Amino acid sequence: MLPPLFTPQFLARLETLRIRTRRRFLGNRPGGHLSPRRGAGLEFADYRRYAPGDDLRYIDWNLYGRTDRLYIKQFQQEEELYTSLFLDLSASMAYPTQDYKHEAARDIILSLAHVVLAGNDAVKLSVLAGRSTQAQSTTPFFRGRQRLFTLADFLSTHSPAGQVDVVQTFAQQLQTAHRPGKAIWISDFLFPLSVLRATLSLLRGMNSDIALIQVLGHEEIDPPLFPAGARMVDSESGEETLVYFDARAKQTYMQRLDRHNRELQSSCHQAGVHYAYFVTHQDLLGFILHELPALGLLR
Amino acid sequence: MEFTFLSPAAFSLLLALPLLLLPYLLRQRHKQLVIPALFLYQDISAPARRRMWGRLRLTPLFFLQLLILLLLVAIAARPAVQQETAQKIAIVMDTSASMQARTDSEARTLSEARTLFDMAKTRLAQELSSVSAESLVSVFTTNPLGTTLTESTLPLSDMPNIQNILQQLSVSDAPDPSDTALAAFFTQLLDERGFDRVFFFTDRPLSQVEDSEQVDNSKIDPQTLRVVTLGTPRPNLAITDFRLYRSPFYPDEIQATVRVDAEETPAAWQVVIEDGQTNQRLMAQQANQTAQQANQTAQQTFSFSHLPVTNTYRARILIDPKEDGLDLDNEAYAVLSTLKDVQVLLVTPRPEIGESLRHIPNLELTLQTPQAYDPEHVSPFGFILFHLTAPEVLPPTPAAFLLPPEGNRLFSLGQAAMQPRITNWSLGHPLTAYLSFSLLRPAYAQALQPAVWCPSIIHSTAGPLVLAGERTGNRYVATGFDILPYLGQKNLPVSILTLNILGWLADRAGRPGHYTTGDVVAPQPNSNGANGEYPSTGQIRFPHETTFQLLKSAIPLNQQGVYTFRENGAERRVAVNLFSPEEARLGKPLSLSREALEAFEAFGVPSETAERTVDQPLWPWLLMAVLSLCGLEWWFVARAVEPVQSG
Repeated sequence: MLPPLFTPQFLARLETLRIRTRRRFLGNRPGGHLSPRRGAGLEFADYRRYAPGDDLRYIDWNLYGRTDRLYIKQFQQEEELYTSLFLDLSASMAYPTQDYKHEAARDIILSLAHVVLAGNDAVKLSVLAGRSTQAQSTTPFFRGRQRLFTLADFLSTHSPAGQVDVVQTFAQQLQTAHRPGKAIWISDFLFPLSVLRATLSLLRGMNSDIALIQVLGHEEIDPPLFPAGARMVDSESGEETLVYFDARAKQTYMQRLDRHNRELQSSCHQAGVHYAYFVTHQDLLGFILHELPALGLLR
Repeated sequence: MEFTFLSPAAFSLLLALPLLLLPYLLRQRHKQLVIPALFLYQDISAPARRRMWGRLRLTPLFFLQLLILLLLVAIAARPAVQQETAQKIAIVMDTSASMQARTDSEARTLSEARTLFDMAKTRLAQELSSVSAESLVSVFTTNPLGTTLTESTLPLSDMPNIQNILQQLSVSDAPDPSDTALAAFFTQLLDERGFDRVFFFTDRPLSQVEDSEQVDNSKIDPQTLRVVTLGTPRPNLAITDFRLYRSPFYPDEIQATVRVDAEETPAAWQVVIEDGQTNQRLMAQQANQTAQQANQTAQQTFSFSHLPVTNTYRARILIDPKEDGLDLDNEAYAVLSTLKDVQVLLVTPRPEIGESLRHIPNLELTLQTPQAYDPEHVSPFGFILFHLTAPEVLPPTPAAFLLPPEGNRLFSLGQAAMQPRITNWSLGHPLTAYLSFSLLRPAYAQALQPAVWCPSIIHSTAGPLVLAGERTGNRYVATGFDILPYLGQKNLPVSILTLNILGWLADRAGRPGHYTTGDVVAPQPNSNGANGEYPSTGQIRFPHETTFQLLKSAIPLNQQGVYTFRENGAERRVAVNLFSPEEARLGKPLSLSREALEAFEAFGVPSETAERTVDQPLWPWLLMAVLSLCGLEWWFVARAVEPVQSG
């Protein structure tokens, strides 16, 4: 069952978009993305000396007339793209509850999946969840638009819970992944940046074109004051501390969050990773249809 | 200016102020809040134990709210600034006749002598010099009581205007109002009209209390009622009665009696009768100094006979002005009554004898038998003659009882006598005028028992023969011998006595209609409904013009003199005299009754109220401050730190 956001109009507009990669990846089937292979594409790539067995239709006779040597014209192969979508389903994605951060991330990832499927590419969805709740955390590569419902159903069986060891979880996920391609990770990224850098190293080791989409709730960037103090409980670790969250503390918090986000963005730039930022009170359609193409994640 | 709280009990609400801490303490039950990640909150605020008040965290908003509550409590306590305002002072000037008395003139010549009223004006300026210049002043008079010449209060700083008003003020010829009326007027000034102090300038001293304890308990507060007594006691002569006697049966024979209250005075004085219009002296009599010295307050009566006929008469005491305190009571006016036919009812069992009275001019005689006498139908008659009979009760009109029969219920009879000899008689009584008692020898007489109200006028060897007196406003005469038939000059002594009796009964002097100063004459409506016209140009002295403006429906006769009233087209002339022994008694002036003044509670007002203050409330300003602070609190809450946009 698709979420209410996915109206036919929205799906039609998504089908006009394509996943954009910065690099060429090998595929198994012809597709819409340039492949490093030379083949029967339309775009000229190079010449090579004729060898017996080559298709005579690709001999460049004009070049033979000038050089008395036979050269074969080579073309860029266009193949399908393997896209891996990673959705953070740690408990932190469920808070603040009134911001529906998880739902927003779910809609984004389903939208990207539909873009991939509509482009005749293959998409695989993995959820990063706590170990205790995880029965099957990843799907195989799907093709075809109808698989969107399969992915939606897959996501509906998962909810944010538990604490996720991001590096460990990615390491396990990537052990079974043999196809390089586009990797899109959606999370709130509210963990130490050292964890992020380690994870990005794993992803780069898979020779993937990585993109990160950070989803934050509105109350995370503008939390309410608790000048009389509140017992702040970490949603994942359960760790608790008493905080007098007055105006000064809020100022400090917002400075910390701002610095965290800037360092996150800086790390992405240094690693050549796409970075997008979404806050739940923003327009989700506009973010998907306009902001992501503008950032180069879609085209 | 003094700061005060009108409801200081409201400060007990301060005990409830700690309740403000309650919500802050409740907030200390820290709410559990699940957040996505804790690392951003680590060490973000100071530990609670380092804070003042332990775990209680008091924000600046708390102190702002505390200030608001304190201001609200202050508002409930009704803060005010006491501001002194101008005192309202009522100046009550005694304008009674005695204020016309001259001051002690030992060191003055007569031309320099001033009246007590002039002294009151001078004293007024002295008394008001100790009063704040911001005070507001109103001037009232006692005659008529409560009359004011100032439409509104005047600031004391406007002294020239006040002096001008005082100059317009004149003294009336009327006596003082009663102490009760005066005290009621003072109470009205203090209680109803909002005056703070009353200055009363009068010639009357405040009555002295007998012992010191009563002085301490006296309720009259000098800070509220200030009685300024002017003048010193001094002797004075006063005409206390002036009557004309004109018998309708002797129209040209005018008699006058003048009664004088003669306090001790060394100077010689005399009484003169003058024509009221021309001031022409008609008669004069010298005072009896010997009788006066025998009794310091002796009354002397002067009788004048054979006065010429004129419209008005004036009696005057001629004395050196230096020796007399008050000129006003040295003169009195009288108006000669008009002549009319006298309606007489003669009730007699022998009407044929009564017919002889028809020979008397100006007398219309009606004869009735005793059986036909009806006491319900006697009003048309001027008087009644009961001859040889007597009714069961005194008739409601003047009456003469001529030889009442044995067993009558009105007069007790004594012994009978033949030809009794007159031994003494009341000298100066109208019944004895022109009579030669040596010639009066009735053939038969029955002595009468005098009564308290009806003393003996003519006494004989048999006993009282003629009784005369007044009761319930009517004159009654009883004779112990028969004066009928009227034989004229054939029996001259009895005829003269008969005419004296008839004339005395017909005399209207002393009956209602005789005015004294201070009386109020209400106009009687004309036949067309319009009010009567007062007074005419024929009057000798005009009342004060202001009096007419203030009292449109009733005219107080505040000036001595002769007034001519036009009522329903007919003119009526009346004489108005002071005739107040109390006003004329300058040697021992009548004191103000302290008991009468104390009977009114207004004089128990403590002296502190003399300092008139007005509480200027401050709570509106505090309320505005509270609203401003509430707005400031809202602004502080709303102006939370602006969020810093990430990304």
